[in-house]
Amino acid sequence: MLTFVIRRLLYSVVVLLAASFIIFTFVSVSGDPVAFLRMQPTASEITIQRIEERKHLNDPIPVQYVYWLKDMLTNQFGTTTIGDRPILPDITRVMGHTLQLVIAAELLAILVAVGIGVYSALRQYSVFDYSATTFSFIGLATPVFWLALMLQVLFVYIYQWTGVRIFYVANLSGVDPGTGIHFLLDRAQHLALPVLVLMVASIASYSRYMRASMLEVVNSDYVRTARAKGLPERSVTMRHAFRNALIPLVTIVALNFGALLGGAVVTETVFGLDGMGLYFINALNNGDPYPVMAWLMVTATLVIIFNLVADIAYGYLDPRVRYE
Amino acid sequence: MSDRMPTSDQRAQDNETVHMSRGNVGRPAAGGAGVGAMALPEEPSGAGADLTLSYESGVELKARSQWAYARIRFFRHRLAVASLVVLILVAFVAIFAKQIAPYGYDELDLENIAAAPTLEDHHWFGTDLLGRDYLSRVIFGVRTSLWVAVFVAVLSTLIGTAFGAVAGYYGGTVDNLLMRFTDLILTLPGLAVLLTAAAYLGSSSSQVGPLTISQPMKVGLILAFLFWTGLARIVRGVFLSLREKEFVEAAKASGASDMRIIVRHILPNCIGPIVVTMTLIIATAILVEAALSFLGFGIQPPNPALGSLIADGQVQGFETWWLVTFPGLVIVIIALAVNFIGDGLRDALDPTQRIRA
Repeated sequence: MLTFVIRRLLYSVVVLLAASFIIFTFVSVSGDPVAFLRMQPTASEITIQRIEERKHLNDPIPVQYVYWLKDMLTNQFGTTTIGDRPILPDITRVMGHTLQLVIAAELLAILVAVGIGVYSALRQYSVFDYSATTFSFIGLATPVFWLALMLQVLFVYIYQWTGVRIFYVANLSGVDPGTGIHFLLDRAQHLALPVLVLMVASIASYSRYMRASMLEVVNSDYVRTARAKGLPERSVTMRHAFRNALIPLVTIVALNFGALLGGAVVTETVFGLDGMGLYFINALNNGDPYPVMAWLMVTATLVIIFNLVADIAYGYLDPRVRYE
Repeated sequence: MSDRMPTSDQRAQDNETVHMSRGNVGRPAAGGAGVGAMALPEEPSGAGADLTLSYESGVELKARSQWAYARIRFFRHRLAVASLVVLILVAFVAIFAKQIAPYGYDELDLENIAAAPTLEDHHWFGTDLLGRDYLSRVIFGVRTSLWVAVFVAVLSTLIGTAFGAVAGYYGGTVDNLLMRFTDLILTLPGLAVLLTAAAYLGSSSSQVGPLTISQPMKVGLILAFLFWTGLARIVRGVFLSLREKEFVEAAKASGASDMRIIVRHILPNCIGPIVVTMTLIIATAILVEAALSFLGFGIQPPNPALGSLIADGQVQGFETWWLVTFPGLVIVIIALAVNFIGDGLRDALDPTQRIRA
């Protein structure tokens, strides 16, 4: 087990280095972080030169990469090219926002999806089952950003017609969110639509997995044995079948959760949420490698950790799986 | 089968069903290796010939080729057939966009600015603040987006199949090297690579030797680079399990070259998963390209694309809701249709599926 974890982590470091070098090259070649300053008549030549020197912008890209690597390891991801702003506090802030969004969305999605999946499996080929299947097909075929925009349009029109503001369609907080319960309510009104959008995609895929694994378990021998022993149906489905059917879902959820912590890029962009995804897009638009790389390292590390968690959890929950 | 919507016909378990000959998916029965075919006479010519044999048991059997069975199973899947019709219609409109679209892509109708959807003047999807007809823009957008998706599917299928076939057939060091590379691509943070590569490759077409690589094609290349890994693993799996089989040995003994064994003897057994994966790639490519273009990193103007049309619509505000609604609806319809077709194909090409004779 320990060797498995160590080997995986070592391999991950290699992947991380490869990925960071590729992306550092892409960002450095495609964008010029000081382009904005160059066009400013008020920015003096010396300012630009100083920035170029500080970030070694005139060195070959592999050299720049090594400087970045050193900055990341010794200086908390370094600073932005323009403004020399420390990156770590920004990342911490946006990560906090993304966590609120993703945890809320995933918890709700798991609850709903497990319910739908189990009920679909127990009533296979019923009207409910077909409706759930149709829903998940449509959910998987709907672009996330479009769903987000449609909800925005809908709630803007509801507001215009009725004058009642149910949910906000942009940003994370109102102008004056207040404190205590008012703050929470304000935050909930802002997060409701993004959470809903993320939920739809997650429910669509989780409920399929849940249905499939529940079907497999329900038709297995030990469930038949439990029934043959004369256990009440409720105990058969809930204690014997349901708990084992949850195991595959753990893996899927862990993988998806890890990926989502990098920010629901599209959702955050549409709703203007100050989260990881929007941070990445803004950094990319500025052509500044340092914040892009910081985002990449945090995100990729989280994905690696959650992949590992998924594997370990699976091995723990299902004793048939063993890692050499 | 997790993602299947069986129709009532498929569910029916019937005693009088004919088992498919396993072992040799997607090859005509005359291919030789169809050992499982239970002493059925070879089909004379063409598909669907109704040769009825009466056995002593009284069970009636019809001889059909693998393709005939696949076709029958596909056409039983009503949603898949309906989706196929829809997709063919959409593709037809896209191909003949220039003839069908009522207006040009950038044509301005200054008398109808920001018109809501109406039957007048063919502005079915309304017009934007510049008076551009959105039906026409959507038609041209579908043309680009669909083209990119098909390009991605074909290219990544070719790459994935080649990688998987070579890795699985030769095994050993070759397999190890190719699969490590595949794993590396698979574990790369996809979104970051996608967005940064799109930014890197630029917003215009470029010239590589005598080849002009158009900007949408660049987007397609990036997507294909990330999308082939799944198929490579599937194909490798099939090759690994089949390369020790007797029919491969027989082919080797009769002096067939590696290339011939790979292409003629083993590859046809992967047709099912390849075709299904390819359709799924089309659906994914449509959605991912739309998201990329929406964020401004995908297909760039003046090339029309569904994602950037939605971004255009978003910029123009909530009053012109139709600018956002219609391009998105079209994406949903295409993706849904492709997924249903993929689902139907998965059932149709799975030889373990039974069929009512």
